[in-house]
Amino acid sequence: MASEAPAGADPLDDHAVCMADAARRRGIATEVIFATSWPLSRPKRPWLRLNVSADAYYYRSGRVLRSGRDGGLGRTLNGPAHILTRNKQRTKEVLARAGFPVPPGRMFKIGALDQALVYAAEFPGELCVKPNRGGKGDLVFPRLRDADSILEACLAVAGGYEEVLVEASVPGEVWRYFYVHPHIVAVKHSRPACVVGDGMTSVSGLIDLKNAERERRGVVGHFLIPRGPTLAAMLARQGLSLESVVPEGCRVFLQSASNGALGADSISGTQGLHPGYGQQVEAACRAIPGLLVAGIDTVIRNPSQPPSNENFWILEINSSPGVLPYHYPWEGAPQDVCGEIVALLERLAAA
Amino acid sequence: MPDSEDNSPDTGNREGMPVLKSEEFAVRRQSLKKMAKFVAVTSPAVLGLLQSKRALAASGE
Repeated sequence: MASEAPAGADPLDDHAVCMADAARRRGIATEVIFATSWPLSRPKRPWLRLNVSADAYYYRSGRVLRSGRDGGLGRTLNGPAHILTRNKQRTKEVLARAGFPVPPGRMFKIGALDQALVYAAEFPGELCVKPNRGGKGDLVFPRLRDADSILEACLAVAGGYEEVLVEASVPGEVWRYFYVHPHIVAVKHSRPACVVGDGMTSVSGLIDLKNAERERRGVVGHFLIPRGPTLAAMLARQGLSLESVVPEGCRVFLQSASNGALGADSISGTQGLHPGYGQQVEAACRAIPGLLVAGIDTVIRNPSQPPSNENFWILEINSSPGVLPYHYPWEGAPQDVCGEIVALLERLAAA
Repeated sequence: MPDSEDNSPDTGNREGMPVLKSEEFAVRRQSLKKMAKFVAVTSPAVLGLLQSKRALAASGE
């Protein structure tokens, strides 16, 4: 089944390399094939094929596929849940109906941007504007307070997507859960890009130091802290600039979003986190028909306190979740989510 | 006015949400309503421009 690499083909992505290692540790044979998951899409991409007993599964960049009738790429392992979760607002509606807390908000077609602004006008708090079907933090604008920022965010999303989601920017820390049916198997805290003051060095200097540390450590999935207008706006909101010197031990946040591509830190583990949140997230995943592997983004206001409707929200469910931040955290112990996925495939193959 | 049938209903819980100060909220509300009226008239042209820019950027030209 192994196929020859086309000229100039991409190498296997880092997520798939991690999965291949997990498979090897469990004695599962793998090979790389070059194929397209959509008949008309080009060029062919490398997929990791896992031969589990008599079945085969395919993996690439967070996506797990079953084998098709011809032995090639088949349907996504998450089945109908994959289609549902690509629509963030629809997923929130399903979760809300099942009794799980989600941020209040509405989705608007880009032809109805005026209605999105009218809706935002009546919203009493900070807003988050993002694509309804986006991913990897693309064009996500949290913590919007003023009209100009909201308009700019709506126009930016409308320039790239067909649907704009306008919702409350809920307060708290971002915690990401990793679900492999039927349990939560890993948890991490995503801390937006930040530096800690030493009472002497400017914010700009602290960013240089932290970026140098990121280059030196080379932790997979942890990119350099980007500079630019978003950084300047974030500092201005805190009454700071790149030249400011902050007191020793004072943490300065440099981005609102907590994606690795924006310089966020992944902190592995559940230190200080009440177990009730994991139980709620696990129950929410089980409420989505067909969901077998997922990453769940939540915001928790008081992590040490039990969950309530006022301190915990499920932001979205990603049915093609990346695995690298769990295996390669900035702080804390690695969590073997790939091993858990391979174990699930073994259970499915044996069923 | 564009058809809004495809837009979603409001969903979610508003308990525990922090709110803006009343003055800040009033200013924002008024500005956004003015912007909405403007966007209702201009959005087809603006969206066409934005999407053209995006397509051009994606094509690498």
